[in-house]
Amino acid sequence: MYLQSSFSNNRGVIDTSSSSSSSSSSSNSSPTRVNNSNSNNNSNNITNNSSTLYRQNLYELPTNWSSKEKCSHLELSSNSLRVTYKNNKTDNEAGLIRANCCIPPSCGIYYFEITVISKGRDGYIGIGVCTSTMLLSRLPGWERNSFGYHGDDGNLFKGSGSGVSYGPTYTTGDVVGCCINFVQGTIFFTKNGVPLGEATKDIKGLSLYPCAGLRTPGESLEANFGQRPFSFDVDQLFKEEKQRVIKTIKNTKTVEDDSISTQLVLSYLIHHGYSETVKLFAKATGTDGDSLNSQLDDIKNRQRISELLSKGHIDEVMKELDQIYPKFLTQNRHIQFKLLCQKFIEMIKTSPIEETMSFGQNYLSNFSFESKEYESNLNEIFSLIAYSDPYTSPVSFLLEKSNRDQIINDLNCALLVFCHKPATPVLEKIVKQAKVTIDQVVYQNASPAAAFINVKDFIDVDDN
Amino acid sequence: MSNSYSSNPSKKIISPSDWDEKLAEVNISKSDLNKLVMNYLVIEGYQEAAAKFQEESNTQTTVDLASIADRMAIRSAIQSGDVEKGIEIVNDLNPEILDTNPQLYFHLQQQKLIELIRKGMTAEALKFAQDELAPQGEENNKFLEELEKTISLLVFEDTAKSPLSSLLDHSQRQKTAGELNSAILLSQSQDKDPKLPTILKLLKWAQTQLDTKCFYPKITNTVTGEYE
Repeated sequence: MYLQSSFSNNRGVIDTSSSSSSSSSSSNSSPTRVNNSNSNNNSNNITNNSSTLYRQNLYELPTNWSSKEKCSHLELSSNSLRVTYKNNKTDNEAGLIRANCCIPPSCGIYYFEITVISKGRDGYIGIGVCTSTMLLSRLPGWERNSFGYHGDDGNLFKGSGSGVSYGPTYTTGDVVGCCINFVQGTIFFTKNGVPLGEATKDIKGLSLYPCAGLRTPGESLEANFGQRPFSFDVDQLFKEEKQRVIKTIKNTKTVEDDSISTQLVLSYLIHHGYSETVKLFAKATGTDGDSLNSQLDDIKNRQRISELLSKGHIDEVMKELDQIYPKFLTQNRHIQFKLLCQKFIEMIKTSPIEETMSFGQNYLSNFSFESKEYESNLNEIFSLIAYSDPYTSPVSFLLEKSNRDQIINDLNCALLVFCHKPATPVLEKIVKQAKVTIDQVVYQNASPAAAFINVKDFIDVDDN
Repeated sequence: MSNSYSSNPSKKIISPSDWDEKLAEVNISKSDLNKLVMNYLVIEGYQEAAAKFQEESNTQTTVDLASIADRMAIRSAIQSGDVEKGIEIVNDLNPEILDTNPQLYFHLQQQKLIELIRKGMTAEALKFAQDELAPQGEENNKFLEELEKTISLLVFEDTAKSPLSSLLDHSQRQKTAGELNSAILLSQSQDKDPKLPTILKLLKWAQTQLDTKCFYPKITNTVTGEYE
């Protein structure tokens, strides 16, 4: 599926093969566009204006102009967004200002806009990016490792005092944007929301700052680092880049996909004890056999024990455990403790109070010497005795059925470990590993492409 | 300049205990994983397992599980060489699938021709090609080219020695069956690929990226989930 995109003039036909899941979930699950009407002191709310980027908490984005990295001819407004040329000398020197921090490549794509408030005397204005070492007496693009689009002639400057023909001129009232794509290593500018074509594809390894330069009195610019909506549809750009990255990932070569997926599904089903599904799936995939049968017995045992527990039959649970998994309870004292606590709670619900108290004294009180945690747990459950109606007491939550589910889960994990199985299904481990790895790719600045990737997009199933 | 990209040559080390801490913070719900598994069963066509899984795990799917059976029947018909039967079931299911997809329809007819040639039914093959396929070829140059290639199989007495013998391979049947399966899934607004293998690709891609910057506990065996 190829769609002619709004960027076709500078990027050709862009593949936006709309894998329905990724495009639709991106619009649901991510931060909303910043639309802050109060333009004062909004630096905490910059989000790169995208609904397609994730983990923006892992890096810092430019939020305003720097009051230090500023040529002395320039004056900065109190909100650090508007900059004006003040020098009245006849031989005007250029003056540059940089944003307060460099653009982290981890953000994938970065975009900012500048509104020309006034062209001043001559409108010798330059907008673009530069490194931290760029002289403050030069216009963007005049020095090495800087790139600038100039208003008076519409030319593009790439590390040189002479420009090349690039776009239209711009003046008072125009909005000029600059987009840095770290995945592609490219920059392009926009004027009044219209992209002007690739300006450079040579930004690898550079730490770039948004910058602007002015040269004649009265020239004045106002920056928008995401405080307000942009005049250019940057979201569309993010979505296209996201599709490209997803396509790259889908083209990643892995070995024996089919059999690995089959085994992951099977081990997942076994882990959670879906025994009938296991049988049918194993049969259909030809993975059934003796080793599976012994695992099925195991599943059934765990299923039966879970069922007893969910009904609150703690004595029977412990009897089964002793029979099928001798030594399990002595090796897993914390499970034993939890089961005995639960028995006490069940007794509160059904048994005479004397019996319950004597059970607590005989079987539970000794635990309090073993650890502080046991002690505080015991204090909590023993306090149930103090209330004539425990169901309306402050500790009534102990009586909720969900506590049984928690113990079922803990017991299941402990039993799996006891039987030398992983406590977490491999499938779950893989999803978690993918999530943590991608977070780290962003955090460690390993690949700008990761900015567009959210594991949830890959696991969410569209049920339309 | 801490954000400088590609400037730090020494790799950072993330210890297993730090890594475990990060893993422990990840919240993936069981119901999400169940959906992932359901998606796999449905798309790969494990109908009985999918129905049982729905019951045992209480995971819902909007996919009509009966349609899986149809897809599997169609796949096995084409893979066993019975193209006619495959077409019949598709048209029972939804006649629009073939009506709106001339390329798919052509490939099915081409497959039918291949099956006739395989059986040595030369006369029938020629007649079928002239009656059914040639008109489609006239409308589309690409079809014509493919038709010519297929027909040229007839020129060889021992088709296995023909340079185009790959058309007679089982993989050609699988290709045709796969194309049809995808078209049916698409007509039911379903993804044509299961999500699970893509997650494995995602993991591999992400780990490859992180390798350039860090040493960390890396999963190298995706069956056991063991670390390097």
